Parts: sequence; C-alpha cells; structure tokens
Amino acid sequence: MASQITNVKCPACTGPLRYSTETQRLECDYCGSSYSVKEIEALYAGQNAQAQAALEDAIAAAESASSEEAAEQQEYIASCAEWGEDADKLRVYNCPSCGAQLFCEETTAATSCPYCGNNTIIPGQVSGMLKPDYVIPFKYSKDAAVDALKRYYRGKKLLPKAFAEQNHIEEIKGIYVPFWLYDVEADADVSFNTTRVNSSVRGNERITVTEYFRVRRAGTLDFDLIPADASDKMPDAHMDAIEPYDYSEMVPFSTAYLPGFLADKYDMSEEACRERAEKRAVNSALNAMEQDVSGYSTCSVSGQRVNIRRKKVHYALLPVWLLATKWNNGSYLFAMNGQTGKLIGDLPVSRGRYWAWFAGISLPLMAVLAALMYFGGLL
Amino acid sequence: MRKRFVLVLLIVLLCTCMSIPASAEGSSATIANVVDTAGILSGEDLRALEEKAESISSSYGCSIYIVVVEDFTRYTNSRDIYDLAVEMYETYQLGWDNGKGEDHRDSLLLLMSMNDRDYALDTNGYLGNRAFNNPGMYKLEEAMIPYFRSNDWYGGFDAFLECARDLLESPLQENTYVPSSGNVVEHGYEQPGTGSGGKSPFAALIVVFVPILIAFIVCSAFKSQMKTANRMTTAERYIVPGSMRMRVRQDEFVNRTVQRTVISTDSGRGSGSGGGHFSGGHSGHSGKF
Repeated sequence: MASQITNVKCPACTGPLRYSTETQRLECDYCGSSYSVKEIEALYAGQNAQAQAALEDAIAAAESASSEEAAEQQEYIASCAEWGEDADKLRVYNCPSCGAQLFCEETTAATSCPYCGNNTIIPGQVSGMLKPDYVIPFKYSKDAAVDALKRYYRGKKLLPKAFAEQNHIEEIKGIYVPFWLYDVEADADVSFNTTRVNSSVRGNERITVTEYFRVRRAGTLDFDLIPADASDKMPDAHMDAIEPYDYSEMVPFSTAYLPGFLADKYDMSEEACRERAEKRAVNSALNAMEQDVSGYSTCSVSGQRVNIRRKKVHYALLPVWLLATKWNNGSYLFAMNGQTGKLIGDLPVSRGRYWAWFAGISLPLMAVLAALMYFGGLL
Repeated sequence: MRKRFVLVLLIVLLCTCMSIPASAEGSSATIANVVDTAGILSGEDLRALEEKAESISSSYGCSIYIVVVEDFTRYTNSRDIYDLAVEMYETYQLGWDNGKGEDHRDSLLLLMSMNDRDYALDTNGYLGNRAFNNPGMYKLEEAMIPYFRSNDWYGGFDAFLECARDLLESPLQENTYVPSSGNVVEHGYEQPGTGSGGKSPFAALIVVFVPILIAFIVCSAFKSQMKTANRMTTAERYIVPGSMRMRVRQDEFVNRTVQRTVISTDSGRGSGSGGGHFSGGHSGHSGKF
C-alpha cells in the first residue's frame, strides 16, 4: 500500500531537503546540493499523486468502515498516548523513511518526522479541492525570528527585567497558515449632519455664525484580497496584527515550498471567515465616505447603509513564525510575518516599573510647576 | 493723540459744566459725582443722584461716580470701554484721598456709553476692592441692568447707588454671590491682594493634576507598546487604487445660528489672567446693558 505522506529528500544523497529562506531554493544540508522549486515539483509529482490517492483511499475506507472499526482505530490512537478528547482530531501516518508512526492533527499538511528528521508532506491535504491557490514563501529564517524577538524586547519601558533575562523560547515554528483572501465590492450610502462655524470679532463682540447642513455621500469601492486566517487554532488578533503581506510576491501554490516548515489546511470554511473580512470592508467604506465630506467644522453620521457584493475568494498559505515563551506561570505567544519580518505579541507589564515611571514623571513635574507658580506669584 | 485731546476736553467739560462740585472734605476728586454728557437725565434727577452719590462717598470714604457719554470711542483709542474708565480715573485723579498715597484712592466708577449700550465698572483702592470685589460687581450689575434694559435710567442709577451703599456697609463680608448673567467681562480680579482669593486652590489643582495627567499619558503610551496583538477593524490597505466611484454628493443647507459673546480686546485682561496690565489696584467689569 502506498504511503499517504511524502518525504522530500535530496536526489543526490537522500538527505532531507529544506526550503532555504536565503536562496529561495531547496537545499540539502548534507551534500550541499540545491534545487529549484520547479525541479523538485517535477521530481515529486508522481509520488505526491500516489500519496494523495492513498490518503483519499484511507479516508474513504474509514468512512465506509463499521462504527466498531472506527472506534477501534480511535481507541488505538488514544492508547498510544494520552490524547484525551483530542484523539478525534488526530491522524496516524507512517514515515516512509523510518517507518515511525507520526501522530498529526487532522489539518496538518506538512511536518517533520521527529525520529529521522525528514521533512514530510501530506499531499492529500493540499491537493484537489483543498489545494491552495497561492503561497507566499518564507523570506525570514528561524534565526531571524529569534533575533527579531530579542529586538522586540528592547526599549519596552514596562517590561519586567526578569522577563527578558530569564525567559527562554519554549517553541519556535515556521508555519504556513491557511488564509482566505476575499475580493468584495462595497456600496455605501451615508448621511451626515455637519456644521460650518465662522467666528469674527466686531467691536468688543465675538460673533460666531454656525451653519447646519445635511450631507449625503454614496459610492462604490473595490477591495482585493482582504485576508482572514482560516485556522481555528491561530489567534485572530495575532494573524491580523502581522499584516500586511506583499501580495506581489505571491506565487501559485506548490508543495515544494513546504519542506522545512509546518503547514495546515484550513479548518474554518470560507463562509465562517467571511464576516470578519466583510466587516472590515464595511468600516473602510464608511470611512471613505466620511473622508469625502470636506470643508466642515464638525461631521457626525446620521444614517448609513453598506451593501457588500461578493466577488472571488482565494485560498492561500501565508508564512508565519510562531514563538512561544513561558514566564511566571504565564504563556506568551509572538507571531512574526515570515515575509516582512513584522513581529507582534503581548508582553507582561511590570506594575513596579509602571508606578516608578508614573512617579518619576509626575513628581518632578509637580516640583517644577510648583516652583514656577510660586515664583510667578500664582501660588 | 487726537483722542487724548478729546479726553482732556471731556475733563474740562466735566470740571466746568457740573453745577455741583464733588470735592467733599478729604476727597481729591476733581469732577462731579454724576456726569451726564449724553443728556439722558433731567436736571432734577441729576441733582438727586448727585446728592445721594456724594452722601455715600463721604459716609464711607469711597468716591462713587456715574459718568454717561454718547460714544466712549470718541475719548479713547481702545475699543474697550473699561480702558476709558481706567484712563478717566488716572487723568481725573478720581477717588477718595485717605492720605495713603495716590494708588490707594478708593472709588467706584460706573461709565456708560449710550450708542452701543456699553458699560464699565471700575473700582480702586483697598476699600473699593474689598467692597466691590467680583461677587460685589455682580450684585451691582444685577441691581442696575434690569432698569437700564427698560431705559429707566434714573431707576438704574438709584439702584446702583443703593447697592453700592449696601456693599460699602459690609465690605468684609465674604461674598459668595453667583451671577445669573454670563455676558460680562471681568477685569483684573485675580490680582494678589485684592481679596478675591480664588487663585491659589486653582493653581494648586494645576500643580497636582497636570503632572498626573502627563504621567498618565506617557505611561499609557508605554503600556500600549506592550500589547501589539490587536484585531484589525478596517481594510483600507486592500482598497483597489482608483476604484472609488462616487454616485451621490449632496450638501443641503438647513439653518444658521448667530451667537454674540462680549470679549476683552486686551487678552491679558480676561478673567483669571491676573496680569500686570493695569496699575494702582484697578479691577472691574464691563459689558452690555
């Protein structure tokens, strides 16, 4: 029976191949050989097709199997490790290189064998209906992500000193995160109440003339590729905050970009994520209408209507470095855009430092102000 | 220079035309207590008011003046009637001479300009500033303005003199009067030693709260650096360039309102400024009647 997964190996020495962020090619760390994405794509096309077919057969078999057999399978998974309720979301694959059993999440599309270290792809997860339209390759390496995190700590006035000194990166992984990219057209019709205020001085009087207007703006805006991550386990705030990606570097998807990184297929449907993207389009359309209102002193919205016309939806894998740290019984997750290097993440706040800064700013200011007012005869 | 000359002419007019001299014993005033160059008072009313003003002045050692002119801008370069009141005080050497020097002559002057219905109240001297402090000025305005608004000139001046008498009667009383009208400009009430006493607590509040506010803003900025994982709420960067197609641009005029506020032309003289723009302990109010 054909394996459901593919190990991407060097054609010269059979060592593991990995996608290099520096050269944008697949490289072998053992013999130093290097291959273009197209070369590997062509080389592994056959194997990937066989693995895809094997996975589809396995899924079909599982679906047609009796409930007893299915229960046995899950019982087996649960017996191999204490997965608890997560056992339902796991799949077992056999590493084609060393034969070890790989327990993966049902969404996993690329990983590496913890025993032999070979980079492993599950082509069935990213082919056919599940094949992404695009991928943006990683441009930043693991070392660059670690350096970025160290730089991120710098200059943070309220960061506990011990956090930067004691905390160690527990886990760092480069993941191709599934994203839905939405093309929409927003048609907005917004009414405003505005005022125009003119003030002039006549004699010893200030004359303020306020004119009131009813203003209406209606128009249409096109949005392309509004991203919304399609992975339930990825925190939305982190995925939003590492935007933007440079779509000009987006290329048609190929499994050859995956070796050396993790990859997931989507587990949130296009419909489930749509609301997030459309809400952003609505807000931007309202902003655009408001910005078109000019020449007034004040402007407030009195009525609004925005219709969204749905256009194309694209499926893409976008590169993200995830760095997890632990400190003081707390977990801290940082995300770095694997293409632009933008790193974000919430840091702990030292209360002591906060109040020290507060006192350090306010007390000297009070002293200076008091002195100025005292000598100025105001106090 | 020409205005100055006109002012001197006014002085000469006031000194020579008034039938009743104001120089009560001890007073150095060189004009009558009530002067009406606009002709709004009858001779009888003028005499009655003059007698009353002189009586109050001599009883309390604080000269009370009422001066009515047609158009105050003929006598001063300033656009503020209060400036003319101060100039008159200085030029005429108004006030009750109590032997403590020129800067301590107690007085209260009501100057009215009929053309634009402007008025100014100016007080000077230790007693003047205590009796006619800020709340006292409001009381004077509250007493006389309603009469002036109905063109009852005698009634207004009489009410002014009665109120001045009441205030001189109890100059030490702490006055917490709150005015009902806001269309008034205060002049110089924050000068130390004039007895208003409202500045120190306000200054202390500034000393405490402004640094706290600044520290809070700075620390909030520091804190915001610690939280960078934030949801996006807009999609501006995904708008296709040049894709905006406006269908309706409609601006409809609804109505217009006009608000008039009396201001002080001398920015240093506004309420709460307390600047050194005036000398000799002047303080006062001005506004419209």
